[in-house]
Amino acid sequence: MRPNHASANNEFNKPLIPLSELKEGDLFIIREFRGCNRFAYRLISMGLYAGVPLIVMKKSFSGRMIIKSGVNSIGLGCGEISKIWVEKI
Amino acid sequence: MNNDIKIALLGNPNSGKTSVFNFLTGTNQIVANYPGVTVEKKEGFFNYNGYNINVIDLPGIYSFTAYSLDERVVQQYILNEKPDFLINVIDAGNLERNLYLTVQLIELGIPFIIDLNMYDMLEERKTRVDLEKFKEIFKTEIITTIGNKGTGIDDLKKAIIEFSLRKQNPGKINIRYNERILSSKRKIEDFLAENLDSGISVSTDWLSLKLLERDPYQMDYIASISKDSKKFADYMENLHNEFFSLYHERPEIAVANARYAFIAGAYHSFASSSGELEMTISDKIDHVVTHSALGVVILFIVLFTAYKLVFDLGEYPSELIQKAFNLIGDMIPRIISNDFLQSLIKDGVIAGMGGVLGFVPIIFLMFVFIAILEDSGYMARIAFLFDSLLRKFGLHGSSIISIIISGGITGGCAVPGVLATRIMRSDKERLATIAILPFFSCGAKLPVYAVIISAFFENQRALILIILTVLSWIIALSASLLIRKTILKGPSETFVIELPSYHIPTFRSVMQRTWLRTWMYIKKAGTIILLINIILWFLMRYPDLGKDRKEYYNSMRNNVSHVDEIKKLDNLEAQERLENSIAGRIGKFMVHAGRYIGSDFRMNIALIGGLAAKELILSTLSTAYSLGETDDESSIAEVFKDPMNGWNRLKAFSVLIFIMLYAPCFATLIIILKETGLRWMLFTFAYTTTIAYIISLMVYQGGLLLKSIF
Ligand SMILES: Nc1nc2c(ncn2[C@@H]2O[C@H](COP(=O)(O)OP(=O)(O)O)[C@@H](O)[C@H]2O)c(=O)[nH]1
Repeated sequence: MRPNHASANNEFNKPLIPLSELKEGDLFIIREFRGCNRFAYRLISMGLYAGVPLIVMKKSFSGRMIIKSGVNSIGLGCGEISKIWVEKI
Repeated sequence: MNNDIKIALLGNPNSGKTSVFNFLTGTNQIVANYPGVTVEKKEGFFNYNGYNINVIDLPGIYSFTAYSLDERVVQQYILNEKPDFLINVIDAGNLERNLYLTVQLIELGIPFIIDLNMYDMLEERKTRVDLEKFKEIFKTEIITTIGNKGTGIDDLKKAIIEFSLRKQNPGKINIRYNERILSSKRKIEDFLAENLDSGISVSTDWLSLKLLERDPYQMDYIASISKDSKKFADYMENLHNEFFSLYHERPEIAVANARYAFIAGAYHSFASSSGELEMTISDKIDHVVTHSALGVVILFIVLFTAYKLVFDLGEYPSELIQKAFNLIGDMIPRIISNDFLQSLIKDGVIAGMGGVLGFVPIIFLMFVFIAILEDSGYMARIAFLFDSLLRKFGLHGSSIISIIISGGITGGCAVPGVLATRIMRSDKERLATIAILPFFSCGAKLPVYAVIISAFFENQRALILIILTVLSWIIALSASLLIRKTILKGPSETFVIELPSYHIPTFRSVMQRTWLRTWMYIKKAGTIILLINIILWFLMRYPDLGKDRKEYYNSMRNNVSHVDEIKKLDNLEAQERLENSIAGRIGKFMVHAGRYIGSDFRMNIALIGGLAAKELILSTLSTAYSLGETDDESSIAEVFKDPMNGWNRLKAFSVLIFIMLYAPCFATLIIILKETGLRWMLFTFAYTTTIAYIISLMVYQGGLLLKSIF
């Protein structure tokens, strides 16, 4: 199968983890979007592009998350957060 | 000199575009839909210094690439309708993200003015902007506004006139894409030069970029004018794969990153902010209201209070309107003597108008409530909170609002419920939501429940109501799951939602939204509901009784003197007329089908009457039982209790379930027709009735079986 990663920068060799593994209050940078490109593109146009520092504001039991960059708060469904691969900072 | 100017407002959702639009155009607005889609098209007008300005408020979008329906609508509008220029409304408190769209306007080469809205938020967000520098970099006019207060709107109007006089072309701005992007663009341009059948109406520079981003609208367009569309599709596929294998990056992501790199450079030269990730008041509120348990409790309190207010406050004016129409109706016999005309105008036209306008206070208040939810920013949180649950059934988080309005807790109305689905973006989820709304217990079904419950389940009132509510949820969610797995198959929309900062809604903005939507309801529903009502009136009244039967009743009336006896005869005549009418004959015709669920022909007729409005079930039933036209609950309950009429608890419960689930009233059907089209309306009518029949059949036949065993 063809890889379908929408990565921003792979020259960083730090370990990447799915966003779903982070806890409330964790700071991170998005490195890769896996899965549908449209989804990646949508996140990017909403200001969540690779390299922007973000924080996990809220993580619910069911896995939904609110992440925030600057003044941008974005709610993500549980299916979506496992497609975002991040680097903890 | 041409004094007409055509402009469009474009910006991110929540940038304050609608507020600016409302201040620019006041009440001179028209709301329609874009051709063929359910996206609202808002158009307004204003005059300024002798100029006539036509403004379109385009749907809020984050990107100009046509992936979503809104984005496609915006792109189509700008490319085909060619406004003179755009007003790009930007949230000053969220500059970098908002400028992403601005950069794409630069790419397109369309002239635009920047409206730096939410200017008051700059201070709160500790951001400083050097406006002169900003103008210099973006080479255009920048006006600052505070959209919710109307500050700066006059400057914006002036700027619009001046900008149009100057016929200013956009200055050349270099976005500086990297060589990877530029070389791929060049390849596309070369391919297009050789392989197109006809010329293109946009610049190849822009087009090649959109094709590199795989913009579906432009891909379709080029495929349609290619000499060989397959060759074009293969070429693009190879180019994208090659890009990815060389650079480990999808081209659309590379383009997006290049735009942000440009924005970051520009931003740092004209603005400065603290850059800290701070906990704002909105974040603190979010912590509580998006909590999995507490959030749901708060939501239910908010929705329940609002819904109580909507129905309690709306009920009185609604009744008043109905009464006023009844009064007018009562005056008709004094004005018109012809029997047919009298009944047509009184029972068909005036009762129908009362039906449409009677809803208006409730619908108005419901729209007020929705506008407050939208304006405050809470609506996005509701969708977030409910999404994971409702998504399991193929719905969307915001479906919950329509469900509650339609009677998800008890006693709502599906008409405003269907209208409230307009906030949903995914068509499949919206259609599925609309299809399940009739299952919930609207306010008009409650009196019918009350009668049946008081006749047979007096001591289990609460239990029966709870069973009905739970059952409506189970059936609605199962139906939605089924629909989304069959006729509306397809993945759920990915759930990514912006949670805008909370705002205190302004009176003006809430009223403006509410009024426009209410007016649309009156216009849309008014005409058709009225027509259907007249048809139904006809079905329940004609063919009229034969001359001999009428004479028989007249002679009988002449033989009695007591008022009660005359009334009894009137009621008997009405009963016979109803039974003889087309609706009555249909009721009798359906007697076999009805028998299996415990219904009789009189109830069948009442169920047909209930199609016009559920509250008519009781009055039709009372006519069918020769009680006259009453909806007095206790006298109808007595009829049920009378063993002569053959009712029992099992039959009553089965029919109760049928009433809860069967086809929605015509007002709802017409709104579904208007919002979705004929097919979905017919489908909703047919499948709700089928499900109602199957469930009632299972209950009744199951009950009979149990009875025979024990
Ligand atoms: N503080 C502030 N709030 C604003 C401003 N403009 C609009 N709003 C509020 O922001 C919210 C979203 O505005 P709206 O016009 O609906 O945005 P749209 O989604 O772009 O149409 C509403 O609650 C408005 O009252 C502004 O300049 N300053």
